This record gives sequence, C-alpha cells and structure tokens, in this order.
Amino acid sequence: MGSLKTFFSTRWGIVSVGAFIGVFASLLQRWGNPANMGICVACFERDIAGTLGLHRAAVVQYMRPEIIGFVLGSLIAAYAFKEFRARAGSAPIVRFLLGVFAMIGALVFLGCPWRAMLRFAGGDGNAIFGLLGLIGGVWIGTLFLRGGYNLGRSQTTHTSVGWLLPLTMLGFFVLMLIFPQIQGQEKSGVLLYSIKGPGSMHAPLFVSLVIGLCIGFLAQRSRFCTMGAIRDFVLFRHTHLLSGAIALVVVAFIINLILGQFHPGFAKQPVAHTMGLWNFGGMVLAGLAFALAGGCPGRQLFLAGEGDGDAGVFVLGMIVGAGFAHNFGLASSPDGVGPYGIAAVIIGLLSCLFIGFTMRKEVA
Amino acid sequence: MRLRKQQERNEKVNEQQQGIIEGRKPMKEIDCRGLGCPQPVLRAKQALEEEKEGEFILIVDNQSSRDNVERFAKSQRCDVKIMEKGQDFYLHIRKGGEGKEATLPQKKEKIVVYINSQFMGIGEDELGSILMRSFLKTLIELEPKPSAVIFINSGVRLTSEGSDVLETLAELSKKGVEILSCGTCLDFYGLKERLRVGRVSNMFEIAQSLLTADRLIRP
Repeated sequence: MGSLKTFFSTRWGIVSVGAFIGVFASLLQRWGNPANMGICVACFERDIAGTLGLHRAAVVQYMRPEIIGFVLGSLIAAYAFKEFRARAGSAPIVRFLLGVFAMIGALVFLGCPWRAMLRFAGGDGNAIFGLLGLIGGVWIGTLFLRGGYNLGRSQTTHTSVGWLLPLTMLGFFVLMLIFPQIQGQEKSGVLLYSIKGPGSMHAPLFVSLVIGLCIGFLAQRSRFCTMGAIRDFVLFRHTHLLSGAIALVVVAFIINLILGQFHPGFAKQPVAHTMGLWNFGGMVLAGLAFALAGGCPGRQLFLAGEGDGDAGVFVLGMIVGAGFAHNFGLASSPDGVGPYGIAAVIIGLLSCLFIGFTMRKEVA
Repeated sequence: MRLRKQQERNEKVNEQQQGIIEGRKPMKEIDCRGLGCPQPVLRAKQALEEEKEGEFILIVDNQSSRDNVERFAKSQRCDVKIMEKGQDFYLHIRKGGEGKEATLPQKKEKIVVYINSQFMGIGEDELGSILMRSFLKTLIELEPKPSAVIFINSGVRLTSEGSDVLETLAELSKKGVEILSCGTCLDFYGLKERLRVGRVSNMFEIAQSLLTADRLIRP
C-alpha cells in the first residue's frame, strides 16, 4: 500500500493513468460509445442533463454511467487512502457560473479537453483548433493567476456536505435502474432516452460503470488533470501532469490504429464541425473557465468525489449549462455552430474576464 | 471548537519551529490551508522569489497540494522537510545553494584548474614531471576541490595512455572533479583513441569554463 501510495505521484504513475484512460476510452468506442467520444466529460454531463429533461435535444439523452463512476471511484479512493476531506465555501456562485460557461464553450467546440485529445487521437483535424483554443484559454487564466486571482479559501465542513454530489450521482444511478432504457422508447419513467444520435450509442451499462469507477479511482490518486497539465507547464514549466495528458493521446492513438478507428481528416468527422474559428473560440472560453475554476471537468468530478463541495457546484453548473446550451441553441452540431453559439461564447468570455479581473484581492 | 483546536495546534508547531531555529526571528509562515490548486505552488514560487533568507514554512491541508509544492520546491533545488500535524502538512522549505545561513557553507565557488603543459613550472622537464605528479596528488587531499581540471596542449599526455598520473586523476574524477581534455590537442598528438580518464572537450566549452570560473588556477 505504501509504495502504491507514492507510485501515483511519480512520473510513471501519472503516465500510466493517462495511458489507462487512453486505452479504455478507445475501447469504449469499440464497445458502443460514440466515435471519438469514448469518454467526454462535457458531452456525457450534457447527456445526463438530457436524460433528466433539462434540455430536449432528443439525440443527446442518456444517463452516462462513466460520470457516475468517476465520482464514486474517486470517493472510494479518497476513503481508501484517508484523503476524503469535506470542504466548501470558496465562492460557490462563481464556480457555478464558470461551470455554466465552461459547458457552453465546450459544446460550441463539441467536447471537453479529454474529448479534444481523443478526437485528435482519432484523426479529427478540427480538434487541433480546439486544443489550441484550450491552450490559449488556460494561458489567459495563468495571467490572472499570476496577477493574484483567487477565489478565496474553502472551509472544512460537515462530512455529509462532501457526500452530497456522490449521493446525487448514486441517486442518478438508482434512477437508471428503476427506469431502464426500453428499446425504441423515448421515455422510461422520469428519464428520457435517445433512440438515435450520439445519446443512443453507449457501451453496456456495467462496462461503462466499472471503467468509470476504475478511472475515478486512479485519477483521484494521480490528480490527473488536463487543464492542470497546460497550466503547470505555463506557470512553472512542470511537465508532470502534461506527461499524463500526452500519454493519453499517444496510447489512444495507438489503440485507435489497432482497432481501425483512426480516420485522419477534417470533413465529416464524427460529432464535429469544421468551423475552425469557433472550434478555437469555444475552447478558449472553456479553457479559461477551467483555469479560473482550478480544474478540467474530469478533475472537478474527482475533486467532488473526494469531498470538495465547490467542485460539486462546478459540476452542477456544467449540467445546468448544458441545459442552457441546448435550450437556447448555443450548442454546435455537425452542421456548425448553433444560432446563438457565437454570442454565447462572447458573453462567456466577457463574464470570465470580469471574474478574472475583479477577484484578485488577497483573501485572508 | 475545531478552530480553537487548530489554533492551539498551530501555536504548538510554532514553538517547535522556533526550537529548531533558536535565537533567530520566527520563520515566515505561509498559510495555504483551504486554498485550491495552484495557489499553494504559486505562493511558494512567490516566496522563493521574494525571500532573501530563502527559508519559510508553507502550510497546506491536503496531500495533493503537499505533493505539488514539494515537487515544485525540489525542482527549484530547495530542501523540503515535511511535518504532518493533524490534517495539515507543514513544509519547511529552504533554498539550496545561495541564500543559506552563515552557519552553512557558502555557495560553492567554481574553481577551474588549467593545465597547459605536461610539466609544472619552467626548467628541467624531469623536475617538471615530478612537480606535476605531486600537485595533482595534493589536489585529492585539499579542500575546496576544483569543479574541473582542463588539460591543454601537452597537458593531454597526462590524461592519456602511458601517463603516470592516471590513477590520481581517476580518483579526482570520482570525487566529482570534471577532467576535460582538449580534443584538438589529443588529435595533434595522436592520442584521440588513447584517452584514459575524463572526457574530450572542445574550445567552446573550455573557453566558457575559463570565463565563468570564479577562480582560475594555473600551476
């Protein structure tokens, strides 16, 4: 246990976690998840928003067990290694809004940083614009961090506060068991299920759940974070987290080659559009929001699992943001950006700048 | 209640800290409890840039921040000692090299020994040989050690096959002294394949070593 405890803080530890995610993200596509979307935290939270009826985009509604697994796997790891600490109270409303805008930005691009890397590893050239945008957004975030931006301290609080998001996820899972998908039916009890489109494509429930749990466990141990990978490199020239992210891309690429899932090109890529500027712009917004909130959407789930209530608020912000994104026509589709997507990105960027510029006073 | 306990704990730790550094002003403490990533590392970075003493204590309340700050401090060549106090971690960070206290050794001076002949001094070659042997042997015993010994011109005969100081130089090399031989010189004397200790260097590196040395010794 002792060596296992330190292994994950080593370079090989983070690389093996990145590689693990790369392998199973590619395999999940093989086993039923949408193409180049083995795992996408933003898309999957959007699907959860859909199954709950927070938006009515019929093609993206499914209770993704991977997300549930991420939170609960992290919870298990945190308890196994005595790292569960319930804490909350570091500017929750800001985190909520950052979650909303992060989701809007991600859905203009059509993917979170994980999916940007998986799209790239699957040959989708449009992902390059997304990744560049992500780097740009995080870079802007580091300027704020250097300038003293922070959201203040969190407080240690009741253990049950830290349990709220994991319990919510558990509740989602129970809902899914009570109202399982019925072949060809759009509705099962309170839940909505896609019968076509990406939402209808998914690996078997327990496969998704178990892989989600494993990734949640490993990522909690290793602190895997795609935004942190860029941020730490820009701020401190640290390549620790970056090596994990690179391992993910390289391994996913190799597995895609083996499975025949690598299709290089720009046009007609799965669940993607070719508007380079807005692939870029969407991810600038998302990257900046992640940097200001202190973690990529995956990391926020893992933090929520180990008791961070503020990260939980960010997750809820993202789910609600997905609702806005589809109800207001902000999310892109393979045809291009939504009717109000560009305006939303601009409003989101202005909001993030407002947050970044005004929240830089030293908080005691 | 919890807060008071924490305060008491802090005071206790402060006393302990002051015990370690008795007679000096209390060490600067940076409290990063409750702060998320990357604030603790940013503050450590800031402190390292500002602190003249180059020594401070940084308090974090989670293992992830502890690891991050430790990793960062070590990458900046600092000494890090970690004490676990309840749920918190106290990282005692001290700059390595410059900025250490007077009681600790000063920053290591860069001394370069420049040997431009196989003989020491001007006069009979036989005597020059004996003196050179003796000088190099003495280097093993003396402190401080040079960071590098550079062999130029016929000096490269000392580092090549047939030299009677190979063992002495190997000993120096083992103690961390870099043994550099001029490549052009080895070529000129046909010794390139017969270098037995240290490594081949070039004029760029040699000139740079000479220019950046704090002290240059030419026996």
